[in-house]
Amino acid sequence: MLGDRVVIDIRQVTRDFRVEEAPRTLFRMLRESVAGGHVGPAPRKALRDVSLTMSHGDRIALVGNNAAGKSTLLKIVAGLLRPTTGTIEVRGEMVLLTSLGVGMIDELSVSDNTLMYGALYGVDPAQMRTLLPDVLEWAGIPGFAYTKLKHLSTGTRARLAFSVVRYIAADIFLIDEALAAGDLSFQRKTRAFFEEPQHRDRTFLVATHDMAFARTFCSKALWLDRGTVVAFGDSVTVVDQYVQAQVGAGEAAT
Amino acid sequence: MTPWSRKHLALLGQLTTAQHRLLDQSTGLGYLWSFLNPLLMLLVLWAFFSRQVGVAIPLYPVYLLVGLVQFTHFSKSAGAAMRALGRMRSLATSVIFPKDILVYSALLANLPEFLISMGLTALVALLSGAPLSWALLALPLVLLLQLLLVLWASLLLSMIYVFVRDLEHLFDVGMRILFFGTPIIYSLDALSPTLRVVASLNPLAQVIGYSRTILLEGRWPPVAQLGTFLLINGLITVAVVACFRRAEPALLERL
Repeated sequence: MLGDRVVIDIRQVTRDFRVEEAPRTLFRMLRESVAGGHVGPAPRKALRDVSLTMSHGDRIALVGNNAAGKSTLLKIVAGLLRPTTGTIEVRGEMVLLTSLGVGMIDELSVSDNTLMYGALYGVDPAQMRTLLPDVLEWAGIPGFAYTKLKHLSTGTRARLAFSVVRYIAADIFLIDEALAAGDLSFQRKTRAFFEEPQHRDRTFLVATHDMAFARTFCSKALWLDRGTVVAFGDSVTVVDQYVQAQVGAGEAAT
Repeated sequence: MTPWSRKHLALLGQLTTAQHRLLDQSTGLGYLWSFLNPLLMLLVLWAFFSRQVGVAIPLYPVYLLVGLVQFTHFSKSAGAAMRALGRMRSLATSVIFPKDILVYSALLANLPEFLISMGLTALVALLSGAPLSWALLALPLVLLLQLLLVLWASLLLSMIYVFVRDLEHLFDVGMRILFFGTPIIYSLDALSPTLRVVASLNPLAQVIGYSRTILLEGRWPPVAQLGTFLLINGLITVAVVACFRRAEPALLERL
């Protein structure tokens, strides 16, 4: 049972992944079913005994090297992966933003893609239709409504996707490096998104390699290393510990 | 498991529109292909079979057309829906929404063409001299039965496809067997009593049979039997949808 202000409760979550040494074929599946289980090396632990409680309005950064388990943790909270052991409780409507523009279709127009992308994150298509001029204006492509998406550059697509993201009205935002794309002016615009008044009382769990962002935007940080929690607490302290450890590791290697 | 909401209906509408726009959009005749496909197939089959198999069947070209339109819809929709989760893997594994929406949108994208094709088939039947009767009012129920059939079959296939990709090839073989195992070219009367019993167990054969009774003979299909089939297929659909929702986490793990 979640407390009054608690919106995410992660308790002792562990997650194993199978290590596949050969392609999965019908023959292999039959062989495994006869053998009574997975044939191959022991599973890799992506998360080990991770616990985290988030209250309404918390902004927590997930920091750590690649393969630390940050994305896995976000996907488990989002319900897209199951924990091997442990429990997750979530209260409120949440969205997971992994890469900007996922699901957009090259052969469709900018207008069609905008409506569909919005609908994927719960923005009503009728509302999005009225917002379309503003969405295109923010993305820097006014008058491109009927242009096929394939004619836009990668950066412009990311801007278009983020322009839609601004209208998502979820309680909980799970963000996986999705906002790190684009040039400096785009990154400035995305930072402004977090400061907008309507987002101040939202809950954010953000996996990031942008340490300046983690320090300034998030009040707390969770440092993961190969699936294990190394530190959790005030974001400035934890990020400093993480950065120092990286500098130390770099010096030791050279 | 994500519960359904009004937002998910809106998403279903957007995904369906998107997929529908992609269908045949790069071809010159676009939409028309959905009717031209069975029509061209009809010409080929009619040229080969009209003098042998078709001689005993009144209005044989229309008889063929009804079967072909319904079979084409079944195989095209089930094929697209079966591959939907794999085709939209990145969407399925990185955005939070009930994943059966992907299967439904693939089916709905093919629905307008099917309804138009059936409408044109009814028109062709009338122009060919088939009797016009009130029995035509039962046609929407028969189409509903076909939609329920393709819905639960597609959900089942899409689940199996995630675990067994060999289904890609098995599906094509299965559709060829279904084509010849269903009385599309021939009549049930041409089969031996034993084979007739086997063929009548094929639900697609039943649906096509009902359509032919309405469109070619101007008669009502056996209403009690049609109602029973609707009820059975409705219950199977509910069970398969529940099964899909339960299996969704496992499907996402394997995608």
